[in-house]
Amino acid sequence: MLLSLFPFLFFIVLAAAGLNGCTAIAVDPHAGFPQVSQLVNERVGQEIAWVPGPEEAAPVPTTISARLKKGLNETDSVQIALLQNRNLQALYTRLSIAQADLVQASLLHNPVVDLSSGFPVAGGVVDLGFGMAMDFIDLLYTPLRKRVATAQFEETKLRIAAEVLEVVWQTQTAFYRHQANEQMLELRHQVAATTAASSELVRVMREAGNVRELDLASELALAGEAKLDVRLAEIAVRESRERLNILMGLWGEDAQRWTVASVHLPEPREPLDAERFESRAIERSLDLAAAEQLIVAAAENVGLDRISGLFPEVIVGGKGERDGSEWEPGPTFTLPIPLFDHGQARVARAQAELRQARELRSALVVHIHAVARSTRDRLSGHRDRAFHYRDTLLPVRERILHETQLQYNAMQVGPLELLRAKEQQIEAGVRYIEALQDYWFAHADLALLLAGHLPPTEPTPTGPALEQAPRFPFPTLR
Amino acid sequence: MKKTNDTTPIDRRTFLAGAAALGSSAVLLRSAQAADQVHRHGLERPHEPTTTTLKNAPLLERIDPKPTLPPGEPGKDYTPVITPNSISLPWKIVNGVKVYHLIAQEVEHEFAPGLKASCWGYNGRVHGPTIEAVEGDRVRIYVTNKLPSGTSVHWHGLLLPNGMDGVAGLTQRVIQPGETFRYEFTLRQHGTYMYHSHHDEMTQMALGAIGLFIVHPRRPREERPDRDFAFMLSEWRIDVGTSRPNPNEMTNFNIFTFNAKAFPGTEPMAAQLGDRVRIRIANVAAMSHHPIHLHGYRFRVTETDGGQIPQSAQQMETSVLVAIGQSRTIEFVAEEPGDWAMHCHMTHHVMNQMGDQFPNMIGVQSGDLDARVQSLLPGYMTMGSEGMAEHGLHIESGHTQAPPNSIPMRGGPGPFDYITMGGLLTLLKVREHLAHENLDPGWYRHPKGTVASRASREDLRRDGIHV
Ligand SMILES: [Cu+2]
Repeated sequence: MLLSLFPFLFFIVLAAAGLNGCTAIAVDPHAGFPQVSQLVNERVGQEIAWVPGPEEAAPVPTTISARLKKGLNETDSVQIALLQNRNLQALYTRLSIAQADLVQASLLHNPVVDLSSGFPVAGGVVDLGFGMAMDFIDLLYTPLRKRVATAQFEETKLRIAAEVLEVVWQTQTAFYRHQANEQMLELRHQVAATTAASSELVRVMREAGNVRELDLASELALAGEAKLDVRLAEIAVRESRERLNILMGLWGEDAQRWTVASVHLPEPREPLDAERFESRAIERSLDLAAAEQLIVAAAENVGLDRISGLFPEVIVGGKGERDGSEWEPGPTFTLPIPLFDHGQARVARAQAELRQARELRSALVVHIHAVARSTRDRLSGHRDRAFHYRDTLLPVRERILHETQLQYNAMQVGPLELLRAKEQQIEAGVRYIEALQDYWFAHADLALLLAGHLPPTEPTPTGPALEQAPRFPFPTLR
Repeated sequence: MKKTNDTTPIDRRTFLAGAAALGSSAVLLRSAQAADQVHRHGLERPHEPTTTTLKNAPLLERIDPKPTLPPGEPGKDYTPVITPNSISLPWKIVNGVKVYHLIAQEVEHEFAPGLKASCWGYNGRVHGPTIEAVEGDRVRIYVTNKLPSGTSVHWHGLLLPNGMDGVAGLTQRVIQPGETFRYEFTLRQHGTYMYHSHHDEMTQMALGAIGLFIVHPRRPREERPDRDFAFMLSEWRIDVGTSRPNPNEMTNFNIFTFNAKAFPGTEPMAAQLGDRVRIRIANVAAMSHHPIHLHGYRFRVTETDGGQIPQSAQQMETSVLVAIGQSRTIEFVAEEPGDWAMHCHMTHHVMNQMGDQFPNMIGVQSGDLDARVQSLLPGYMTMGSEGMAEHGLHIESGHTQAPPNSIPMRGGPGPFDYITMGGLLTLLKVREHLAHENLDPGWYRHPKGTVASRASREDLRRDGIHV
């Protein structure tokens, strides 16, 4: 009678497979990437590429080589980073992982076959049993699980897009820093030339017997420090260059040869429309969209838990049992009685997680608003600062230098004062570049925010060239 | 402090009282008239001598007890003084009194071509015009204050009633801006005196509120001079590129002036051969005494601000030190034609706007340094390694650009070369024939063979000079 059992079982499995077939998802190693690519392209206007290949660095394509040869600008460096950054390639594999999870969630549990036999101690015929069972309620739960997993996959795509944007930000920031460092180096060389000239002047004055050894030593100290400042600026340039190499995924000769098209940071742009900052940041926030997907997933989870709490599983199957020589087929049905655990804990947990996701979303909204305001203010503040240097302090320093030159011509001040005025003019240039750099950092932060991602919160580190070399390394005497 | 005996120091009031007592009855009469006149004008009765007996009679000889006399007339009673770069203050006679009007005010003054500054002076001049009068004149001087601050005028060296002495706070109220004060007294001496502000002295004198007060003798003991020049010395701090003297300066003065003019802005003295020349020099600089040296002559020092030096005591000099607050008068006969320098012998005082912050560059071999610095500062060149001589010329020719309104270390053009002096330098030009009495006759034309020149080879050979 076993034969009569099989069509029944077959029907169950077939039905389940059929239902699953409608909902199950195929494994696709590149799933999700087109959406990520589109999101990124929409927001930064540049292409990304996923080149699953050998783990070691691939040779740089000729198109990139060509760009490197002509001198990099900020846009080039971002494009190269988007195409070559190895961390991004690693990041995209998270898409595969999330997609695999999604596929997993869409699959039915496999049917279970069990065989049994009984050996009569007193003698007689061996009892054989055959059963096949399947968690029938899985058919009901799979779409729910899939909905959760889909939301999670969506969230992953949004997060990855956001992380790509962050690489764009990192590259922009690194590029600005490198530009600034290069320019600082140029200025440090000028200061060094100025102090070298003044110490040389004092040396010939000393040779003529006109100044004290003390005066010469003081000048030599200044010139020596200026040389050290050049060294520090060189270190800073090397560091910012290597940071860009990492971000652009450059190695070997390509990493050594490129130069920046201009060492001059551009002037601040026209102020952006301040009115719509906050709403635009909210509208375009990938972080917020991802948080919403988490809420969706959590909400689906609550529904899932609520149902599965009542009927965690319903095992439907059939079995055959040979009693003597007779097969006795019959259906089986297993149902846990939700007497003690009717899923209340799981539901409560899922509900708490849902509330948590909602709170996190609300917190994020507050955060985005605040960061939008503070970034906007920082941007306009540094913009004003840069313009104040450009329009007021640099011209004033220029004028001081000119007037000092006239006073020198009138022999009212000496050549050292004149060279000092030159030095101070250069130092004002240094501070102008610092202001410009801060402006472009804030600009990158705001661009990132408006593209949909919150800028990282840790303060942007300052390059060593910007720091004052300690002039008095000795502890205070008591 | 308690007085222990009767021999107390004698004050001027006691002197004056005694002087009047010993004077003729005419004095009393005239004084009474003057007092009456003043009274009728509704003004304060001046403190006039009373008939108190004086104890230290022998000292009284020092004071000339002459009464007020009819106003002295120029040409007739005296040879008018020439104040180079300035004039004498006009006056009129009202009821036998010489009436003057001084207006204290801010004045835009040119020290030398290329340097102007806002100063304080009188009647549109810095310093004020010379007040000129004659011994025995009764003078009435109105002082109008058009300065932004209070002021007063002190008649430096003159013997007068205490209340006319012009020390704000001590002997009179401050003349507030817009007010006019009247000073009136009889001149009882002759000589070279001054007037200057005696309120916030430091500021007002440093800004130029000073002037000469010349009193000619009524009946000179010696022959009258043909040329009578008067100078007032002062010093200023005018930072290069600024346009107002800094009255707070205590030590670093950079403009030194004869009658508020620095060479080459000084007007020369012109004299005719054989002229009896008198030069009066008064000094109310802030900090500096000036040894004034005249080239080409030796002269007699005939007067101090205390009065005439007896002929037997007059010294022959070629330099005369004029200390702060003093005046000295010298006389000589212009017997040697030419252009003769008269200058302070303090070498820094014959410099205009010298920068004493400039380092000592003498002997510095700058090598290729100039080229290196020029890459940083295109206008740079090492200066001063051979001294300052060329500098003024560089500035003057425009090769080197100096701040506007400045004359740093500038001198002036001379007939042979650039004259590298400025400041306290002026010229005495003695000519056989002067075309115009007080005008610069131009450069002296030296008779052939009387100018130092490059020695010829024959000269050197003849005299055994090996160079
Ligand atoms: Cu002097």
